[in-house]
Amino acid sequence: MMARGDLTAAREAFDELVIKHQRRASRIALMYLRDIAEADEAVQDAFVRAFTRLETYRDEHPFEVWFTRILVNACVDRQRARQRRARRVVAMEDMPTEPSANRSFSPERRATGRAWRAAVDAAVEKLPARQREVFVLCHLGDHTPRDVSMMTGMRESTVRVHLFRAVHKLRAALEAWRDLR
Amino acid sequence: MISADWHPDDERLLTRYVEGADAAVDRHVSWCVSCRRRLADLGADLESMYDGASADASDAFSAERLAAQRRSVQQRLGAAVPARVLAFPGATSGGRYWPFMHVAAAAVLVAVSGAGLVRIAQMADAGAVVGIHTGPVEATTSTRLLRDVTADSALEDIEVALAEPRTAELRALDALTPSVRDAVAPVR
Repeated sequence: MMARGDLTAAREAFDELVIKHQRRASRIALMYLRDIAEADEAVQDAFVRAFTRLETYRDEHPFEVWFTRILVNACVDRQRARQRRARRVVAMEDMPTEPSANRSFSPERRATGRAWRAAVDAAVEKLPARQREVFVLCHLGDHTPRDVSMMTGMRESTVRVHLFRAVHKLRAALEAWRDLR
Repeated sequence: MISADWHPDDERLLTRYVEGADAAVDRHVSWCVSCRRRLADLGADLESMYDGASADASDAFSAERLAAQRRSVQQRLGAAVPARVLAFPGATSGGRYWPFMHVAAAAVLVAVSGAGLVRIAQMADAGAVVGIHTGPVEATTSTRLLRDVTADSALEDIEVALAEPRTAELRALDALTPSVRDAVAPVR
């Protein structure tokens, strides 16, 4: 459609892709950014970037893998921008350890399971960047290590190692919750 | 060959959980209660984490919010232009007119330089440059010959360029532009 210059039709067709992928994309972005508004923006950025770069998409990978890579980059860009802003505004030691997890969630968040979710959030937040990235994409994004390898450019074996370490740390961090869940 | 007292380590169990199948592990947990329990615990932990994160995302991204996100994406797509079309549409038409532009530019260049040469020749014929000419006579003659040849070829070039059908669209522009002759004639 784009090749024919029919942008309206292309946008309409792309809307179907948005519908199909936006929920999962939002979940991944939220785990990355820990802020609803930022995650929302990152997902939008990713869809717009994907649309403007559709020509670079090759069918050798599923669209979702290609798109998730764009999404991850959008999230990383926002994380960096946020860090730059934070450096300008306050010293790092004054930053809250859980940036906006509590203030940006809806009232249901404060109901049953709130503490557990907060504990998971905090534990994931504390993971080293690569481990967090792999864990979010593999486990929360429902992608295989092979897919994540394509998304991130890491070797598949490296992805597996990061995933294992992430899970190991998370289980250790959440050990105390095991009997309370 | 896996020994009878072999037990999968945590990494192997995780791989089994992620991949959904591992023949050796599956065989093992079919009789090893301890490892079956470990695998079940691992699965329960990961499911809980997933449920927690999913619940957060579901709370945060309600159907209304997702609809708003979609609308916003569509609005932004309205302003966004795919990379393929990023090249200004004029680039295509510019490409089509590119040879005409070159011919026009060449014609203008030739006309200007030709007019200049003709003017110099007239000045030389009138003796206007005699005072500054210090070279030998042979040189002057050859210079004049060269000048005449250059002027003639330049005029020929102009004629050829003007005769080219591709310069037809320049005639319309020319018709709109006051010529020097028209501007000077009333003064006289």
